[in-house]
Amino acid sequence: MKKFLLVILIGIILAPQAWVRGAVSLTSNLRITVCNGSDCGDDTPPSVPTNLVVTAVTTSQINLSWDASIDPGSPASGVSGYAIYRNGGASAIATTTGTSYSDTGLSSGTLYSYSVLAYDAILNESAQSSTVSTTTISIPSNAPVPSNGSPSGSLAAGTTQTTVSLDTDIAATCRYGTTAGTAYVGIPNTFGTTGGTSHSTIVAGLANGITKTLYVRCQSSTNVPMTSDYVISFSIASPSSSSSGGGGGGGAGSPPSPVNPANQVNVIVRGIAYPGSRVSLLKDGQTAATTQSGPDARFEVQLSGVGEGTFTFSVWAMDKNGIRSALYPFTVTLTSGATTVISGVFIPPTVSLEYETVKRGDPLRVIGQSAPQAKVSVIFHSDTEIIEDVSADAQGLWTYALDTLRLDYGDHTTQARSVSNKDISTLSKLVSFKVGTENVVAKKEVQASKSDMNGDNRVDLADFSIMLFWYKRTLTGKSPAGVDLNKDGKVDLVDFSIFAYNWTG
Amino acid sequence: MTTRCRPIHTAYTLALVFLLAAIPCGMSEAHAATIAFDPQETTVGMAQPFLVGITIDSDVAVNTIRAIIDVPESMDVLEASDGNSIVNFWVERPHITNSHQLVFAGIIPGGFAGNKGKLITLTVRAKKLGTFDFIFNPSSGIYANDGSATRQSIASRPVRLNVVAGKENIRNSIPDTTAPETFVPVLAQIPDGGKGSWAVSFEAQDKSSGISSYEVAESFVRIDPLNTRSIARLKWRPARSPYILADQQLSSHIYIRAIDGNGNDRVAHVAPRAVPSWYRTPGGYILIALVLFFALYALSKRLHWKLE
Repeated sequence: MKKFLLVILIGIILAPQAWVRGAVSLTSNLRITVCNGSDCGDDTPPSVPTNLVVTAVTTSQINLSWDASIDPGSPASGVSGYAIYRNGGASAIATTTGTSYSDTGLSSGTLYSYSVLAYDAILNESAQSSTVSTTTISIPSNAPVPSNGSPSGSLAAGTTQTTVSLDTDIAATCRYGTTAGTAYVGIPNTFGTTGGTSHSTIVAGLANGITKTLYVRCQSSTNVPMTSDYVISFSIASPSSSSSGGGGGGGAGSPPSPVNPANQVNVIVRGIAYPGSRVSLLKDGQTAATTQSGPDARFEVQLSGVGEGTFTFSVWAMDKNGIRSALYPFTVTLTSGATTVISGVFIPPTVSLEYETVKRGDPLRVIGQSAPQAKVSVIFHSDTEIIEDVSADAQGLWTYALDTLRLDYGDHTTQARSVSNKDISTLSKLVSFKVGTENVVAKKEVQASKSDMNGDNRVDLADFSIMLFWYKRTLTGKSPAGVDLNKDGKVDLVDFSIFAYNWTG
Repeated sequence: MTTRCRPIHTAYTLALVFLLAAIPCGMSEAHAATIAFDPQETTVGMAQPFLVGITIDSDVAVNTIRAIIDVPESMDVLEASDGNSIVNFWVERPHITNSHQLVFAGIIPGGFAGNKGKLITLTVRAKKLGTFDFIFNPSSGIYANDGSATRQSIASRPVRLNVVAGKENIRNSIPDTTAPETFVPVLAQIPDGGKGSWAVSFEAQDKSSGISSYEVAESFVRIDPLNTRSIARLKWRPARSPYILADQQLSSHIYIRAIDGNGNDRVAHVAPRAVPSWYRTPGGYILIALVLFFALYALSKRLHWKLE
C-alpha cells in the first residue's frame, strides 16, 4: 500500500511538469498499473460467496446467482470478480463481475454441479463455495429434433420475401411465430410444406434493415410436441450503393451523384463573402459545391446526399482581382434524415500589398475586398501591434495606406478582419512584407502559386500527391524545385504545413 | 509572432532586468497544443481489446501533425482507425514501426482550433500485467496554419488505467455496415526526375471504422462499378496514393477501391484520357467476333463448293 501511495505521489509531482511553457515535455501519458500480490501488501482474500442458487431454464441453459462477497483485511483492494466452476473442474469455466451467470450450450436432461469463488483486484482468491447441482430440462424422447434451419445471416437489400426451412429427424408438423416461449398449440402459423421430415414456408413482408426472428416448434405424428423453441433468425441488409459515378482527371470533375435516393438536401451553408464572388464549399478538403454570391455579398450553398458522420467543411471565396480568401473551416456532425443549416459564415477579407519590400518612410498600401460597407480592421504585427479601421465601399473594396515610419526596419506581417452589422469574420491570410531601404513591387499571389505544383491554378489533391511522392526522398538536381517550399533541402512536415495553408480544394 | 527583448535604458530598472531575465527571450513557440489519450474505460481487462482515442486541443489553428507514440512492448496495437478523424489527408497513414512506435502524419486544410479533435482511435490489447507507459515522443511536430508552419510546443495529458484479470471490456456491438464516403480520385503527373509519371491520387473518408486500405485496378474494358461480379473480376492491386499507373498512355479505365476497417468498400472510377481504340470495348469484341465468324462461314462455303 505504501509503494502504491508513493507511485501516486510521484505522479502528482511529475504531472505539472507537463504544463511548463516552452519545454516540449515528455511525461508519461498513459499509465497502466496492476498490483501483484508481492508488490501491494493486500494478502487477505475475499469472503466465500454464499447462497448459490442454480436454476435450469431450458434444455440447454442453467442460470446461477449468489450473494456478493466482501474483501476484508487492511488494505482491502475490493472484490474484482467471481470465477465459476462446473462439475468439479480444476479451471473456471468463466469469470464475471456481477453476482449472476448464465451457462449455455449444455446438453438436455443432464445433471450439472457448480461452485463459485471470489477474487480481489490483486487476485487473492477465496475458497470455493459449496457445490449446488441441477439438471437441464429434458427433451421428451419421442419429440422431433430440428436441424438445418435457414436462412441465417444477412440477406441482400431489396429482399421482400424468402423461403424459411428446416428438417426434423422424424415426421412432424411444424409451426412458427414471432413470440418466444409459446407452447406448440398456441403458435399461430403452420409451415406451408410440412408433415414429413423437410419443412418450408414463404415469409413475406420483409424490408431493408430489419431483423426477422422466428420461433419454431414441431409436433411429431404421434402428437408429442417440442417443449423449447428452435430459433431461425436472419436480417435484410440496408442498401449502400458501392460505387461513385464521375471521375477525376486533373480538370474540374463534377461531384459524384448523391447516395441519398430522395435527393433531400442535408447541408445548407449561408454566409457573407464579397459582392458577386465565386464561393467554394469543400467537404473534408475536397470541392463539393460552388456558387456565386449576390451583389450584397450574401451566399447560400446546398449539399444533398451527404451521409452521417463528422465532416470538416471549409468555405473560401475569390475576390474581384482573383485573390483567394483564407479557408473558413467548421466541423459538423450530421445525422441522417435531418438538414443541418450553418449560417453566419463570414468569409475574411482578402489582403494584398502593393510592395513586398517598402522603403521606410514611404506609405505601404494595403488593399482587399470584403462585404459592402463593412468595417475592416487592418492589423500590423510588430513589437507594438498596429490596428487601423477602414470602411469598405459599396463594392466591398477597401484600402489603407500605412505610414511606414511607425515600423522598424525588418520583417513584418499584416492581416485583416471585417465587421458588418453584428457579424465578425475570421482572420484573413497573413501577408508578409519587409520595411527596408527601397521599394520592391509585390508579385501577385506568390506564396499561393508556389503551392500549386502542377500549375492548374488550384492547390488540391493532385498537388498534395506530388508533395507526397517526394516526402522523405533525397532531393537531387532532377527533383522538381517547387516541392521544397521552405528551401531547406528536404520535403518534410514544415513544407506540408505551408502547402496546406494555401489549399483551395 | 516573436517576442523581442526590450533594450533597457534607465538604471533604476535593474529590478526589471531581473524580472525580464526570467522571461525567455526570442521565443518563437508562443502557444501549446495538447495531445490527450482518451480511453473508453479506465479499468480494462487483460488479453481483451480496448479502445483508446488520441485527441488534440489547440487554441491556435494548426494544420499539420506528425505524431510519434512509443508503445510499450507488452501492448499490441491491433488497429489504428481514422474514422471521423479531423485529419482528411494523410502524409503517413498510422502504422507501427520496427521500433514499436505508432507513427502517423497528416494535414488539415483550413486548420483546426478547438478541443477534443479526434485524430486516431486505437484498439489495444495488453499482453501482460504490470505498469506501462505510452509516451508521446518529442520528435512529434504540430504546425500552425499561418503560412510559416510555426511549430507548436506540445503538452500531453496523462491518464491512469487499471488492467485487471477477468474484466469484460466494453465491445462496440453495432457492426459497421456503412461503406466509405464517395470520393473523386484525380490524375496527376508526378515530376519524378525523369519524364514525369502519371499517377492516380485519392483520399477517401469513412465515418465509422475508418479507411483500412486501398486497391487499384486498370482495365481496357469499362465495367459497371455497381456490379459486384464485374468488380470481383478486375485485377486488384494493393495501392497507396499517389499510385503510378501501369498504363502511362492513360487509355485504360482506372478503378479505385477504398476499404474500411470492417471490409465495406466503395469503388470510384476514372475515365481514360486518351480515347481507347474502338475495338477495346465489349461491343468492339462482339463486332470482331461476328466479322470473323461471317468471314470463316463465307470461306468455308467457297471451299465447300470447290470440293464438290
